[in-house]
Amino acid sequence: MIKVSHLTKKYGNITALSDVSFSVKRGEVVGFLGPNGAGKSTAMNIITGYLSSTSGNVTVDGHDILEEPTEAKKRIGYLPEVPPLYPDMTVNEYLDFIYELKGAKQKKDAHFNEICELTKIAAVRGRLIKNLSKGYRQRVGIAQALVGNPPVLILDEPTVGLDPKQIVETRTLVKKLGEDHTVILSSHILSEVQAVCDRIIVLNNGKLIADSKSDQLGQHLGGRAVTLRAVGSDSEIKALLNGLKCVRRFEKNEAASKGSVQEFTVQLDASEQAREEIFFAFAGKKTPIVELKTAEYSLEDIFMSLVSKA
Amino acid sequence: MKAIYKRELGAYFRSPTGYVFCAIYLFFSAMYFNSVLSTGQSSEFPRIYYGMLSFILLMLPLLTMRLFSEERKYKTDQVLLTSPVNITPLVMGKFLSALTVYFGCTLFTLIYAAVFSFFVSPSWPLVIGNIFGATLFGAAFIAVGMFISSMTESQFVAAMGSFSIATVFVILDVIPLRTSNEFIIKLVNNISFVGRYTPFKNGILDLSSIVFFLSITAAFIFLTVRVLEKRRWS
Repeated sequence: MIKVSHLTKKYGNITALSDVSFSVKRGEVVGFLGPNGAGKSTAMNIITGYLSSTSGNVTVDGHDILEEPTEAKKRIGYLPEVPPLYPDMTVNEYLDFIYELKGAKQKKDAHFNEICELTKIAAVRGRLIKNLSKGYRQRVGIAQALVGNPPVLILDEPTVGLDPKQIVETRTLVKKLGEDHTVILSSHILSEVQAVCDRIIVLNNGKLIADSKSDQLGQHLGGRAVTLRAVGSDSEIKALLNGLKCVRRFEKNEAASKGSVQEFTVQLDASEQAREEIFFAFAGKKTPIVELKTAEYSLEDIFMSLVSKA
Repeated sequence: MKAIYKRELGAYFRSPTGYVFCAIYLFFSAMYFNSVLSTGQSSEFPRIYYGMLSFILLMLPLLTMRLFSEERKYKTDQVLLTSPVNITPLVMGKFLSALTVYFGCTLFTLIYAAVFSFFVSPSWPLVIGNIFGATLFGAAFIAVGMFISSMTESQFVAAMGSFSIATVFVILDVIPLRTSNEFIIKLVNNISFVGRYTPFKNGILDLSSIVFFLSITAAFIFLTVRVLEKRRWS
């Protein structure tokens, strides 16, 4: 649906994006992840045709954004970082304007009712945008992107600046939209992308440093990690772990260690027998293991490791 | 184009801008009407339009300053430029909305002509010709103001920019009164907006003046489109 190839954007001497390529299939929900200033917004602005790339190209449903901008833009609904709202208009007037601007063909009343229902702005339709709260403005911004029912939605940090309740609501909304739209969403909040997206693209300093299914991102780290709980003294367990070849490094989880039970997060190499080696080593020294399980990487860990590697 | 035209026209009257512009226009044109009445000569009627020209130059920045700078400030240009519409119709829509407000004010002067017609029969072709001329005159300066507005995101800077240009033109018109150098007088009359209006005042539809105003209008609309396109590439 969206194909981005070798995208580079330079602002004078500053390179905002360098050689970024990826493609998004129809119906996929993709998250752009990266710290502030990583190039997420720049990439989105180029895909939507607001900015032009220095080199490389973007096609939306086969239409090049530079050569057939009208056809490409028709297929995109865009929520920029700052919702593009006219404070002097009411929500209804604003949606009317967007409807005409996009030349939408849907039956207006039914279409608006549907959008307002979905984004939960039906109650404020007669109010001036300048009097709306930040949460409502964000939702009017999303409603604006939905006008004309474009197959692709590009949402730049849709939850930024919202309160926790609104964040949950917005995520639910995006998930729902993902059922029948192709969505690209950006965020610097890792758990958010994890909750909403099928696939994650990690950007840092304008470079694409990872692109994979959200549940497979951990494999980029190489090796695996386990959480180990054993009864014994601190020094005993550390000595045991240090003596094992399959253990790359380990770390004590102070918070989870109570009394004689110690908890460690252990990074293993890729060998198949690693767990058995640990078991026998501990059993031989009469240090009972009470729990041994695969550790879940948090996206924070993944992210930090990717960023420091790149 | 229709969508943006409607929005912009509405925006003038959702804020005080449109009303303030109309009020100032009516105030000054009524003063000139008053002075025409006191001369008692119907042939003096174009003075309402002619006398207004300098005021119009100084007032038009009020209409043009917000056209593009406001979009940039509120980041609403993102929704315009990512919508499936070309830049030229967007610019035209904005230009026509400002022109409509201005033209609407110009039409108010027909009331003066109507009042006149109770006493003497005004020369209608002269009145229509002057409205036509005043519209061309305004269109040209609206295009200039819109161009300046497209270059900044501060309404204040946009207003001051077009206001300064207006002031230069107003001062320019004083030069011919202070010099006897034929060349300078001719030069100033040819580039001055007010100087170019003179034929309309005298009831002449001067082709070179019409072409002058139309080409200024077209040139600055074109430049505005280029500024917006360029921003994409910078």
